[in-house]
Amino acid sequence: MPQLPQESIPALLVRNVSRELVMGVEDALKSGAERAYGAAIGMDEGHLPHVVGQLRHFKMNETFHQALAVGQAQPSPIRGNGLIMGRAGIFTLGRFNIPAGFWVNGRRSHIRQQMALANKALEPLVQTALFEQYVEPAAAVAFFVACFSGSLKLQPEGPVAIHIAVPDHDMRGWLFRECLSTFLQRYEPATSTTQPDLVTPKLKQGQAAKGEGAA
Amino acid sequence: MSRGGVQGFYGERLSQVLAARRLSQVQLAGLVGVSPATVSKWRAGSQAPEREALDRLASVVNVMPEWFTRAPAAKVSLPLFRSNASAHVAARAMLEARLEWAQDVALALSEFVDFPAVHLPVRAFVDPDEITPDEIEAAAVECRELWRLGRTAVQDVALANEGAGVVLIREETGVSQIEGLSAWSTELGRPLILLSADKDNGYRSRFDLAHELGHLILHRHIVRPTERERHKQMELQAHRFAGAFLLPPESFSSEVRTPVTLDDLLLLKRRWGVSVAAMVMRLRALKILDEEGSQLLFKRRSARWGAKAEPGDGDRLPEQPRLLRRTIDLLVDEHVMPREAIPRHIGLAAHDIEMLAGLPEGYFQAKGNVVQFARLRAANSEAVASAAGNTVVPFPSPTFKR
Repeated sequence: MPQLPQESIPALLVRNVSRELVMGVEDALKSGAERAYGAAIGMDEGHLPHVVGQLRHFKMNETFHQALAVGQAQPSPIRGNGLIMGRAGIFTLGRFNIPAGFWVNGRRSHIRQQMALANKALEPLVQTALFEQYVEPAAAVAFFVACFSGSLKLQPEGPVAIHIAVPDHDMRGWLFRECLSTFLQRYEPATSTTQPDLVTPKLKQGQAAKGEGAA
Repeated sequence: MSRGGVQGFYGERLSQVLAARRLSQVQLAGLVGVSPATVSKWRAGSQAPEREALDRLASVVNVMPEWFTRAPAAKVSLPLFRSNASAHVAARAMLEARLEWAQDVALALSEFVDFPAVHLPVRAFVDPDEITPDEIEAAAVECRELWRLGRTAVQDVALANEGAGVVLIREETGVSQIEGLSAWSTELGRPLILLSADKDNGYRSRFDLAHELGHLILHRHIVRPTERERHKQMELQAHRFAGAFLLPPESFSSEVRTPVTLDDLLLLKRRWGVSVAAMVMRLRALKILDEEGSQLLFKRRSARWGAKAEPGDGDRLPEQPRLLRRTIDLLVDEHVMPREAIPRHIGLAAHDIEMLAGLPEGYFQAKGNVVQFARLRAANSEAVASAAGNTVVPFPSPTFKR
């Protein structure tokens, strides 16, 4: 049976996408959502959920664009309803919002589906193929996914969670997804799971020989 | 000097043992059967005890008689105590004497072994006013980098300290108000920390140790203050260091949810090995909480859990020192010195060395590793089956003894 390669998707993400960029995006998505809700307050209750949803899209695009620019992730320009994309190492970065629970919104965008095709090269990291070997890809795609409660009665001003997610090539499954608060811990220098034990007194030269003589 | 008494008797040793045993001159005189004035003269060095009196004295304070004739090592730097209250004068003297004994133990052992090299950040502050919060944070970061601890939770603070050359002692002192003390030893060329084991709280013990580490790094060259305000300032600086060392801002802050709740902090308590109270203080220092916010959390903490205990305090066992214990084990295992000869070599009572080195009680009394299991004599194992089907085991009879 073929062995899984040593490489992993989170390790690839950590190597390519800086901690500062991830934290910047986290802040950006939260503040974008907050601005959207603030801007929608006072609108008619009848269409308030739609207004909040639409405003979230635009406001969070703006703040996401800003975070990518600050993080030198070459953001695509803001234009109409288009996706905002950035680039960090081999990863193209995008974003979308979904209601918490089932992740139903990912495949809605044709462009996102096209982007995800690049991740075919990552699939051997999760499931080995009989005839294909894993080769480190030149391009891959990851999304920041902001999960909202789905109701304006429950935390409407911000996402209940933000994930980083790497889809499979047809966006029907996820090769990796993790809440940002957990993912950020991966950046801490791996000081090994066990602390080194340096409490080792050593016999002075000559003492060991004396000891052997005594024995 | 001495007049007709034992040659080479050191009055300083008597002062040290009086402090360590928390005895007054009058009490000691009563126990030894001499007048208080005689004890005073022994102490001042104007008279030395006769041989018999020395034996009685040594037996009363539980040290070897010959120990009084050993020149005391140079004193350790003056430790800083958490409590400077006048009520604790005798307790402070006792702890200082215990620390000096720990120095004696380490010195005696260092004749045979090399301890881990001292590896602490070096700071040359001579005035606490020079030490800014940024300096404290930088010292804590440097310490973590030197010890290769990364930015995650420190698994074992005691292990990290001892690995960096600190001699650590953890013993029951009977003075729970003073959680610890630390000092630099010029004779050893390394620092010592003594922690009180009285509270038996693993979370507090880790913080106390980090606090003492802060004193050792930040206040090494600062003259011990007498003014209350200055003392308080240095205590706060050591507290800030402990927080910065145990809870680095980059990693800890990112795990704290805002608005901060006690329950969130309880979840983080186990992961970071730091009490909720210490985390609230750290969040205040990092300005994640304002004065009002931290007060509110302290108020809620007191209302929910009382002033002293927190849920989960018993989850983590206090970290144990290893260095002195391992050194003694090494000497025994490598046949450098027989186990029972070690107290004689050091000059202190076996019980004192066991406590200072964190050895199990009775360690020096153990004869060997052969364990004899009791075996029933043949005569005793004869069971008699009664008519009713029950089994009767007879008591051993003296006539069967060989």
